[in-house]
Order: sequence, then C-alpha cells, then structure tokens
Amino acid sequence: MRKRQSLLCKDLRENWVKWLMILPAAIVVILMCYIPMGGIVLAFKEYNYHDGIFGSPWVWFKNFTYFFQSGKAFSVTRNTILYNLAFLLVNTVLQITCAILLSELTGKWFKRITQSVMFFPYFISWVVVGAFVYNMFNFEFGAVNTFLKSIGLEPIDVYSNKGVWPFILIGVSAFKNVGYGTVMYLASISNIDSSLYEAADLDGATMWQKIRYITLPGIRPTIIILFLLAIGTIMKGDFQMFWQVTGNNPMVLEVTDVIDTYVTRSLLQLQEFGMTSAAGLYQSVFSFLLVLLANKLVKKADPDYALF
Amino acid sequence: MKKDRISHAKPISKDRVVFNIVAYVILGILAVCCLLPFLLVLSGSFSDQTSILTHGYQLIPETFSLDAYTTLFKIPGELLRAYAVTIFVTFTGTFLGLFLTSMAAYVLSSKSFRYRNQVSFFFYFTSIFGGGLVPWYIFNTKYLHFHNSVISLILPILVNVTYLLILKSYMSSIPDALYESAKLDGANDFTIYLHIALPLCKAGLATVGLFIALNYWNDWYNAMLFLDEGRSDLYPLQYFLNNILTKAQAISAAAARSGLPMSEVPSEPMKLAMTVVATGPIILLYPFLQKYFVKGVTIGAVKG
Amino acid sequence: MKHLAKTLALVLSVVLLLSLFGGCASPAAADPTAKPDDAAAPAQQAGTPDISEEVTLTMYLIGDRPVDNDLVFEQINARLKEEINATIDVKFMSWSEYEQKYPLIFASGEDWDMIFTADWCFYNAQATKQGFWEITPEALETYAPMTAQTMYPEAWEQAKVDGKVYMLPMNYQELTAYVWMARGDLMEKYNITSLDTFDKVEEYMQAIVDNEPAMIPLDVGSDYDRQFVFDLIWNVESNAKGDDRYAVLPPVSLFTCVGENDPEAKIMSTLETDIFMNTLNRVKDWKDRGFWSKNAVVNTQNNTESFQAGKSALAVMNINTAKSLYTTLQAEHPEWNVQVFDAMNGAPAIIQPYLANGMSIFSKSKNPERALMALDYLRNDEICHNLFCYGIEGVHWEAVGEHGLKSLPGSSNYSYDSNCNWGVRNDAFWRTIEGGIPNADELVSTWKETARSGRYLTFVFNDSEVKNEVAALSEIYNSDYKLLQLGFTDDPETDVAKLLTKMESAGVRKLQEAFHDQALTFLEAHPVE
Repeated sequence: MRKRQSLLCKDLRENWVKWLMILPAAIVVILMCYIPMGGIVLAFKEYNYHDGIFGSPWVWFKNFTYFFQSGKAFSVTRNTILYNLAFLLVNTVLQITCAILLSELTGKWFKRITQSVMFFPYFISWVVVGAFVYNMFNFEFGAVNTFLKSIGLEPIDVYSNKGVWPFILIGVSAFKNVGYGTVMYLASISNIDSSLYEAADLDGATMWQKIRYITLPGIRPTIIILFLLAIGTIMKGDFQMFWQVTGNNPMVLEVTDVIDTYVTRSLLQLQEFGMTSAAGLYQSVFSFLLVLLANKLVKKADPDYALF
Repeated sequence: MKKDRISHAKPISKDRVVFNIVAYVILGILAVCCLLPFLLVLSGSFSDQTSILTHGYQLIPETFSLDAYTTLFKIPGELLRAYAVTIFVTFTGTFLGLFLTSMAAYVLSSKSFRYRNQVSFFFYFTSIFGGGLVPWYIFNTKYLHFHNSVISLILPILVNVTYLLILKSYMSSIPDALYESAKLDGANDFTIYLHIALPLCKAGLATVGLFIALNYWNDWYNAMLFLDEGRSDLYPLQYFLNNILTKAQAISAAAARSGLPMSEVPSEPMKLAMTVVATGPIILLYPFLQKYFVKGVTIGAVKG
Repeated sequence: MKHLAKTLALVLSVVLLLSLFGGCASPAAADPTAKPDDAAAPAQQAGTPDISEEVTLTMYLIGDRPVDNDLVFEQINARLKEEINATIDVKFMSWSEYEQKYPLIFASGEDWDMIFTADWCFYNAQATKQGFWEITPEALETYAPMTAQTMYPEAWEQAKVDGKVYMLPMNYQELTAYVWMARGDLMEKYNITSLDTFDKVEEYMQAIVDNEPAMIPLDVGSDYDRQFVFDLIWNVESNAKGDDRYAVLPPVSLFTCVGENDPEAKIMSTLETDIFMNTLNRVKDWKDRGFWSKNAVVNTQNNTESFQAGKSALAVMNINTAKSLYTTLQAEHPEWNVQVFDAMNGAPAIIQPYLANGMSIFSKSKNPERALMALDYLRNDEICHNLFCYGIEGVHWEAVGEHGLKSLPGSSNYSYDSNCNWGVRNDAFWRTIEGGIPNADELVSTWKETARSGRYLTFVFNDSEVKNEVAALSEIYNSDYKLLQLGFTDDPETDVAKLLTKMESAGVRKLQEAFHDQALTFLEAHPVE
C-alpha cells in the first residue's frame, strides 16, 4: 500500500504538468457529477423537503419494488437492450458506409451538399418528428394510406400493428443519427496515414481492397471505443424518441416500451424522487457490469483499445 | 490535396466508376430522406393552422401565410437577444470545452502516463452513475448558486465524458515517436500538446468541437431549470422553441382537467416556424469544418 | 481487475467524502425552517398579527406573465401595503416547464412564499413531502379572518391530507358538466334537430360517417377527450342505477369506485362493476362505427382544435371551454351555425372539487403568516380579488350588472380569469362574461337543479402506505385501461378478464384494502343519512 502511494506521489512530482492538464476537466466532473452523486442514497429513502436528502427516512429497497410489481420489468429491460443493440448495429453500419463513400468521392459540391444536408434531421426535435410520423401513418388521412388507397390497395393500420414498430423506430433513429455519427468516422478516416493509400495505388489495389485492408482496419479503434461507450448507455433510451414517435401508444407497448417510458408512466401520479432514483440506479448498475465485462474482453484482445 | 492530384493523374479505373455510381445513388437517397422532412417543416411554417390540421404536412402549402413568423417576431428584440445569448454560449462553451477536453484527452492518450487507465475510469464512471436530477439541482442552486447566471448555461455540459474518450482514442493513433523527439528537444507536455498533438488531430478536434457546439446550440434544459422568468434576458433560442413545442399540450391538459379557460395556445405553424428559426445559422457551421474531414491528409501534411 | 477495484474504491471514497460535505451543510440549511413555526406560536396567542415590519412576499404562478401583470399588481400591492404592510412579487413558471420545475423549487432552498396548487398540480405529492406550511384553524382565524368566515366547510374538509390542511382551496363552486358542440349547418343538412340523447348523437355521427368522408365525426384526441367520452357514458349508466350509483374515487388513475350509499363501503375497480360492460360496449360500438379515428389513442390534437379546423363535426368539452370556443367560432365561421347541447342525458352535473384550484404557502417561507394574510386579501377583498381575476376596471373590463362583465379592448394585455388567479376565485365577487352561447343559462339552470356533490366529494386518498401499488396501477391505467376507455378491444369479456388478473398481480387488493379503511373512516365522519 505504501509503495503504491509513494509511486503516486512520485508520479505527481515528475508528471505534474500532465496532472495539471487533467485538473480543470476533473474539477468540472467533480462538481457536476461526483458531488451530486451522493444523491444516489435517495434510491433508498423516502424523500421529504423538510429533512432533505440525507435526513429523510430510510426505506431501503422499498423504492425498487414497484418496478418489479407490475410484471413488466423483464420485458422493458429486454426491449431497452434489444433496441439499443439494433440501433447500434444499424446506425454503425450506415455511418461507416456513408463515411467511406464520402471520403472516397471526388465530386466536391455533391459531397459538400450531402454532408450538410445529412445534419438537418439532428435539428428537428422529436416532438416534430412524432407529428410527422403520425401524419404519415394515420389510418384515415395519413400519407401512406392515401397513397395505398389511390392505387387501389387496402389501407393499413400501423398504430395497432406491433410487428412494424421496431422497424419504424430503427428507421427513425437512423434518420436522426446517421449524419451525426458519420462525422466521427470521417474524422477517423482522415487520421489514416495517406502514404498507405499511395503505396496501395502503386501496387494496383482495387477500391474494394483499399477499403477492406486500409480504411476498415484504420477506423477499428473508433468502432471499438464507440461500441464500448454504447454498452454503457444500453439500459437507457432516448426517452423523447420513444415517447413522441410511438405517441406512447398502448396498443403496441409490448414492443415499444423501454425502461424510461415505463418508469415515467408509473410515476406520473406519485412524483416520488426516491422511486425515480431507484430505477436509475438499476439501469446504472446493470450497464456498469456489462461495461466491465466488455472492457475486459477488449483489454484481453488489445489493451490499447480498452476504455480504462 | 495530394491525394486528389494522384487520383486525377491516373486513368479512372472500372471499379471506381462502379463505386461512384453506387456512392451517388446511396448518398443521394439518404440526402433526400434527410432533406424532405426539413422541407416539410419549412413549408408548414408558411401554412396556416386549419390547413395543417385538415390536410397534414405538405410540400407545397395549400395557403400561404406569414402569420406564424409575424407572431414569433411580434417582439423582435426577444428573439434577437436569444440569438445573441445562444451564439455567445455556443462560442464560449465550445472553446472552453474543447480546450479542457482535448487537454485531458492528450494526457490520457499518452502512453507514458502511468495512471491513464485509472483516470480514464474516473471520468468514465460519471457517464454511467449519476445522482439524479434533484440532488444535482440542489447542489447547483443551493451551494454553487449558479441559477440565474450565464454559468448555468455553460458549466453543466462543459465536459462531456463521451467526447473526451472519443478524442482520447483519436489521439492514441498519433505515433509516440513524434512526442519522443519533441521531448528530447526539451519541450514540456503542454507545449507538445499545443504544438504537436493539436495540429495532428484536427479532424478529431473538428468532430468533437462540432458536437460540443451542437450540444450548446440545442440545449434548453439547463435554461429551463436554472433561469427564472426574471432572467428572460438570458433565455437561449432553443428555450423558446421548446416552450412553444410543449406548451400546447400542457395548457390543454390543465384546461381540460380543471375547466380553466384556454389561454393562448401556440399553433402548428408556429411550432414549425420556431424550428426553422432555431435551426438557423448553426446549419452553416458544418461546411466550414468540412476541410478537416478530407481523407488521409493530416499526418502526411505535417510530416511533409 | 485488481487495479480496477482499487480505482473504484478510490472513486467511491471521494464520493463519500464529498457527499459528507453536502451532508454537513444540509441540516444547517434546514434549520431556518424551524424558526417560523416557533415564531408563529406566540403571535397566534397574541391574537393580533404583528405587521410592523414591511415584507415582500414572493408568489409563484403558472403561465406566462401577462403584459399588464405588473400594472395590475402595482394596484394590488398599493392596497396590500396599506392593509397588511406587505407587497407581492410575482414569479411565473411557464406551462411548458411547470411539471418539471414545480417540485424543484421546493427542493432548491430558494426563498419564496406562496404558490398556486391544485389536485391536478401536485397538491398531494408536495403536501405529503412536507412542502407546504400547515394552515391550522387557529392560524386561519388569526391571519385570515375573512377566509375563516367564508370558506365552504366542504372545501376545508377536502383540503385535508392526513388530517392537516395545507391549501386554501378556491371559494368557488363550479359545476362540471359536459356539452356537445355540433355544426348547425350539418345537423340541418341531415335533418337532426337536437343532440340531447345518445341515440340522436349516434344518428348524427352516423350521418357524418355515411356522407362526409373527409370528416371524422368526433375526433377524440388528447387524454382528456378520452376521459370525457368515457366519463360521460359511465355517468349516465351509473345514474340509471339511482341510489345504487357508484362514486369513482380520486385519483381517477386508479379507477377505483364504491357504491355511493353502501354503508359497508365495498371498494371495487370500475372493471368489476355491473355497468362497466355496458359502458364498454357503447364506446366499442362507437369506435367500430368509425365515430373516432382508429388512431385516437395516439392523437394529441384536442377534439376542440379538430372541430375548430373543420375536420370533425362534433366535439365534447366542459361548459367553460364551450363558452370561449363558441365566441371564437361565431366570429370565424358564422356559416357553421354552431350549436351547443347538454350531453349529460339527465345525469347530474358534478360539483367540481374545490381542490381543482387553490393557493398554498411554502413550508420554508420566512413569513408564512404574512403570506396567509396576503392570500386572505386576494381571496376576500373585492378590490384585490377583482384586480387579480379580471384586471383593472375601466382598462381591461367593465361591470355589467351584479354578476356580469364585459371585456374591454385592453383585455388582450390582461385577459379575464387567465392569470393563474383560479386559486382565489370567490363566488361572492364572481362575474361571468356576458354574451356567448344563447342557451347557456338554460343549460346551467338544469344542472343546478340536478347537481349533487356526491357523498365522496371530499374524500381524499392517502397513498403513503401503498405507493408501489399506486405506481403499478397507474401504469396499468396508462397502458391498458386507456384502450378500453375508447373501446379498443376485439373481445371485451376476455380483455377485461385479462386485465383483472393483471391488476391482481399488481397488488390491487392491497390498494383496495387501503381504500376501504380510509373510506370507512371517512363514512364515520360523514355518515349516510
């Protein structure tokens, strides 16, 4: 123990510039995250304003029971994880594809316009996206059904059809996030040493070979880090997306309900901070364990790519 | 640039032709998918309430009306000030945030830093565990007294751990040898960071900077939490947008529940017009950053 | 892994250490709260409040600041300064943010005094978390003598949470009754003269379905439209049982009811009653006939908005909404010849709970007594009340007779009854806007005759022992029950049975026991005559 401490002291003395460079970011994180983190105790308490966070009476695990009581804990946890995995997979593939296409294209104006346009969806809030989706799929007047009727087909009722919702949500998520994420891979591609491509050109490599043997390995660290980061948020969901796009539609809840929407619906009436905290803690602990596992696996394969 | 010249010099190969066709088609479809909804927003904002309610969103508005915009700009000073606040916060926040993030990311990426894993963990931990809204809010208002000041718009999203780690991964790809030689010349870490790491990581910085800027531009939540109605001079643009988007539902809910008379409910075109106004100039930011995303130039350029 | 464990330990100890700092500070901050209570005691005994020190009270309202708010409060403050040596500083919380911000200002340690509250606006939740200052009968006598005299006893009873009162409910009796608003031009076209029975309403809607393909007869939208439609039919069914009618106990999201005259107070879920199937079958029939959209559960557009846009031919709403909408539509679409009909089908109008609007005092207010005095004036002093509720006479409104008023052009800067003044409404000074729906008086007078407050009007459920069950049942309400309310079921019998099993496992029995105990206690205090 003492040896370790003295090591740290020594490092502090030798590398003080490095420590100093971390310090500002660390202070912000301590102020904004670590100190308020003490509030996790709320998950085990019944909060009241008079006694405050630390003085309120303990109720231990009582705040957690509601989550399991209605029998939905399993299905919403499963949905949350599956959706996040699907988003991760689909969005990553699309983002990498777009990034590679954009980086290889030579048409300057086309490139410029496409890239800028792909950012537009990011600025349309979920409330508006939700309204668009409703406008498209509404049974009586929706654009899709108007079209179907005009070519003599039967209208479809999307809002009572469970099967299509995973696809709609995945599509909507891709629509919002592809442009945004593409940039990350573009940056990663532009970090690849250009001499590799020059050498490949001299050897007469095809486009496909260059992508396969230079570009993809080159962006591997970025793919891995983004994957690890995504695992950390796998229990959370973009609440606004699920709430607004599905319209919190009871008919398809079975396949669209995620932890965050479920907790919101349950606590509309109660406004109990302790119960909200309890759900949050459940999400955190679960993701944390997953991240530890994933990180360990990555570390085994290549320590350089691990998160920590 | 170098790369471009090379590919122009060579005859265009067959696989490149195929590639180009595929690329144009895929990207073209994608661009249309992204552009279309935005055009609907634009056209809807020039429409009137009745036509949106009866015919839905249309590419060419049935009736043309500037009502939504005239209502929004009834008090032009308000919106212009909001623009100013947003631009100020975005600039300051992005600059500061990028500086702090990249500095920490540089240290964490350097292999000679013995505690890089532990410190990375220290940062990463906060992106999984949080104390929840209430404790966070109490700490900020009761002890730090950030409410009603511009700090409350900047500090909460100043350091984003996810971006920190992404930047760290970009910086890890810089060969250590470059640092070593500088070290032999007697440069300290801060100088190396400033003169070697930053220029080598332009694309990464542009990406993360763009994300930080977008976060600041789109943030309304902190304004909602920390600004009283008395500090409406600090309201950012997106706060107005969010106000208009969510107000209608809240008002009609309360009105229906308690039989209260309806007060002014924002109309559909107003919601869309506000989306247009709030998107505004930030959309022009991307083309400026584009030059940093050219394939395979950075390292070669520095070396040369 | 070892390294990690070390780091984790390090991180956690930092957290602990830091939270200790927070922990040390918070009891100190909580301290001042004790003072006002202590200070209050001697003042109460003295009988006459001490107003020698001038104070500024901060009052939170919900909404956006009306343009002329400050002008109005200048006059109110002049009056208050003279009478109780206090002035009010108004702060607003916008409609778009109140749901999030409301609980936070209680936690933040900010210095403020009074706030608007209501059963739909966190009254119960904040009261049980000790967010409000308790208003004892003694305090009321001492600091709010006018209120003590005029407060409806039922209102005081209603405001009790665990036997303690934390709110001054509005002093205003309001009938809630639903009306149909229909297109006169279409009714004439299809030869329908009145909509006062469900049969005629069905006939009208069927005519629309058959002949007006571009319209949805009744475009049910938001959650509240759904509630209205279901309530309406439920109430009519329930009323048909005469003395055996049911009382749905608040909060509605637990869909619990009791036989109104049942001395045993047998608690059941609405699903378990004999009238539920009838109600369900009617909504299902309406839904199947296409009276509302197949997607009604996800529609967020209010049925009134849809009606206003000419997309639907009928709308259901409460009478107050109808009043303002009627005036607007008369101006916008005189050719529609908008008609308003009583939708109650003979079911009695219900006296709205007084808790629908009220004012409370913050538990950590530095001057709770003075806040109470100020509220007393806002409610019971005609000058203050009228300023707050209608604006400045001669600028925003002018009186018409004893109980009427006319809005003046200036009212666009301070509209009638819309500055979150609802908590201080007082029947003694109440004025309604002249004009509007031609048959309004007739409607209201029928309801007044039949109106009944219902035995359980003042019943308030204390959920502190069954929070988990409340959460589970709320979730069922928001997911499954919602669908039934609009008739979205292919097989009512099976779906209801399924739902009952689901409720069973969510702990509905425990919840009903809690209801039962509280209902019995309630009946003891309010015996069946």
